[in-house]
Amino acid sequence: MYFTRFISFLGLSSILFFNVNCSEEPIETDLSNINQSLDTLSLNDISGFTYQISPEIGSYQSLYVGEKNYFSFPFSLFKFSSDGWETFLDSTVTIDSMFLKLYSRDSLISDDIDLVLHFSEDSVFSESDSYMSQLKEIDRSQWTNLGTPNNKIVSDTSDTVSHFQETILSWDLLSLVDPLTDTTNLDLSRTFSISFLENTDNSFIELYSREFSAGSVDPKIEVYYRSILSSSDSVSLIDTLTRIIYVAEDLSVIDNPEFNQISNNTIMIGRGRGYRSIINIPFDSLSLPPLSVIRYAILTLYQDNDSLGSFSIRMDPLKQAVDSLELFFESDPYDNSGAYYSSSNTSEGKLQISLKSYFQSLLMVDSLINVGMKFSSSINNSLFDSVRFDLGNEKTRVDILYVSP
Amino acid sequence: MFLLKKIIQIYFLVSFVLAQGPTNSFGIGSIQKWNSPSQSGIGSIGLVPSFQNNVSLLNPVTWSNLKFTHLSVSYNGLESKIAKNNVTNGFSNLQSVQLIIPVKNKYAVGLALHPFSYQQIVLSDTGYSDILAFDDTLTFDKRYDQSGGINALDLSFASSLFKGNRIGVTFQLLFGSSRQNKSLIINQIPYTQTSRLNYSGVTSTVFVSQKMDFADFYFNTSFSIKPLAAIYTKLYPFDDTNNNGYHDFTYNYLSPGYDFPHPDDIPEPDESRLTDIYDRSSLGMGIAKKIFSRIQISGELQNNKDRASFNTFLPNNFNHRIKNDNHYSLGLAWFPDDLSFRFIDNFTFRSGLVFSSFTYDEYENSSQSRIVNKNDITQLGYTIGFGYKFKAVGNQIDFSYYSGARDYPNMYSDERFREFHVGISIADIWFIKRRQR
Repeated sequence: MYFTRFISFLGLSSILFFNVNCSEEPIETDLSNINQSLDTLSLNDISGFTYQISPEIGSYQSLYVGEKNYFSFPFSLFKFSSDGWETFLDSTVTIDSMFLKLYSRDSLISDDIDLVLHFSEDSVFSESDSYMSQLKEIDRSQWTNLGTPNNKIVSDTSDTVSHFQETILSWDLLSLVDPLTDTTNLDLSRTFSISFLENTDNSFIELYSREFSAGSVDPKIEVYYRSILSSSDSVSLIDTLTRIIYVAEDLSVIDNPEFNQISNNTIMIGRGRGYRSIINIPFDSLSLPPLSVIRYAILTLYQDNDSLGSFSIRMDPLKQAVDSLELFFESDPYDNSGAYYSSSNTSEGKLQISLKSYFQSLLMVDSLINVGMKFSSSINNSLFDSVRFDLGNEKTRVDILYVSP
Repeated sequence: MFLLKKIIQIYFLVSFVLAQGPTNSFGIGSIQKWNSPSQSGIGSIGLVPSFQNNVSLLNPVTWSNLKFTHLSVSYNGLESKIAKNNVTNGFSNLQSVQLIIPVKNKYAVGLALHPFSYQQIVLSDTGYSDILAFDDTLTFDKRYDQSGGINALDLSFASSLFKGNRIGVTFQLLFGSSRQNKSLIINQIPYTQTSRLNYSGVTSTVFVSQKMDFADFYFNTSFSIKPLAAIYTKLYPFDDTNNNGYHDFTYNYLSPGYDFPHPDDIPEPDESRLTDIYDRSSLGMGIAKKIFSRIQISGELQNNKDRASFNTFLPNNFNHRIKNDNHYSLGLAWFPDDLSFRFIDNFTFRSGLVFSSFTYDEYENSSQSRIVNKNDITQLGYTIGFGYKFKAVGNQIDFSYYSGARDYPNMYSDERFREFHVGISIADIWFIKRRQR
């Protein structure tokens, strides 16, 4: 019996011994019969053209008024929502003062700047939907003129040397208390514009827009008011309060002239002017062997001499081709596919941008057809910058490194 | 006893891994040669008795000599060493689970589950020069790895025909799956094409035994009822940037980046049915002779042929395939004395010599066809083993050890391997109608 137990134990121990001694090392052999291979493809036949749309600058982090670098901004618009005003309808509330405040990073704004605020009760624009051509036609002659601002420079005095922080431009809105606090009229809008007086030459101001920060330097209306908490014949208990109402929509109106026709081999990209370009590269699902995987696909474009050093560009594959010879549009007629986009910065006079994801999808997805790629300015570029590429440069090409089975 | 059962269960759960040796990459893999330590103890192909006197666990015609129903479980471990490449691999796995029911010393029924072939392998080819692409210097290697294999469910029947003559048949249901990765590794990042094969097939083997005055003769012949076929699932290739062997979207700090293309973007896998993968036909015969009443000497030979064309779409079609193999063995067994109460008479001692030769074909790129190679792979080895019978019903625990070498002409250097097998058989009187108390 003891021997049976011993021999059973021996059997189980040997299983454990062999189990823990398992190993799996690669065996070196000739695998040349496996036909997987690495290969390259260069595409040089690259063409493109530039078109212009109404600039989409509503989401920009700055607002402009005036003229700079051949750009003209006749006025900027602000719209406040209807929410938050009902407090002031209460009979116990008395408004003491009300200001519209705008902020600028410019410390040299003169006290007698000819920047005029206007007010309208009409909803004249939408930050996301209005086109510049529509906004330029706005007639502001019937708007209420609220005059020029009072300026105040804010400095950080926590150190022995004070540091400039921002300049605050404020307009007294006490004359607008009734229309602003009227919440009974649902059609009422609270729209403001700022513009320079006519005949003011070479004036320019840059302000923070609502997209710049989370509130501290946003355009806003500050309301200072008193509220009677309790009252008796002899004593009234009054609370002094402040209400801040932030701007709901803001944008700068830009005067956007149509661009002059540029040469066939040159494309331009710029945000402030609404320049976008379509590039066509002869690549489709048959360009590479079936089941190929692209290791990289880099498009290299070379800038013209006068182009900028660093400029961020986004590539979006087009959803479908547009049958049009027009080059000027209100809205962009070239719809993005919504996927496979990429972006890159110009550097050392050229742009190198990856098309790997898009080209790989062209190989894999039967329904996806290459009808061109849209190149547009990234949201982070300055409105005043644009970049120009020479497609006629002999080094302009797409380099593709791929593996096929 | 409960603890012992649990330990056994855990062993079997964690130990079902498959083998690694060059032949695992050939054709349908390395076919399991032995299903029990008693069989391997004399290096038998399974025809002649090796388990007990007049009983072979693999030969149904011998099962009616058992007095009780037997449940046998076997486990094996293997170590393979290719000395020239300094590669040593080891594995262990469940070798078989088998239930044998003898009926009235005349008939027998059996059921067995065991691995049929092992496909676990990692092949590597690092003999390529760097290449230049767009001013970048790229290093590249090739790698092929596969895992999994084919299992078999055996259903066997046997019956006596007339005195001294018995016949049996085994139907073998083949099933299982394997996964393959073909990789071209460029600058440490593999381009990997993954595929899966889900196998199915049925083979049958007919056994005949004939007792003669001077020796016992055993024959078997196998043929495919339904040659091995497979559902072949080919997945879209990908750059395995995170180097984990799977097409996923997880980040690995040791190999930064994500697999490309994204797993959600790739097309549906390409599925097809591949036939004519393995079509077995075999003929075997064995002779066993008793000397000094308890000692048996035996000799066996077997020829196996694969008549399949080996479908060209198989992922390892680029590799060799065993086309024909011959096995020869000589065995010596000393069986227990059932009537003795001496301790030493409960032992079985076994030993054997085994020689095998394998003819293989290989894919030739220039002719795009398979060419039979005239240089056979040969294998020579010896086995020793013992078993111990305990309790009146004939429970038995067996051990065996095999050592051999395999010569691959013009492929690999000699492969040396050692195998260790352990098995236990529990016997009992089952399926007996008990008298009511």
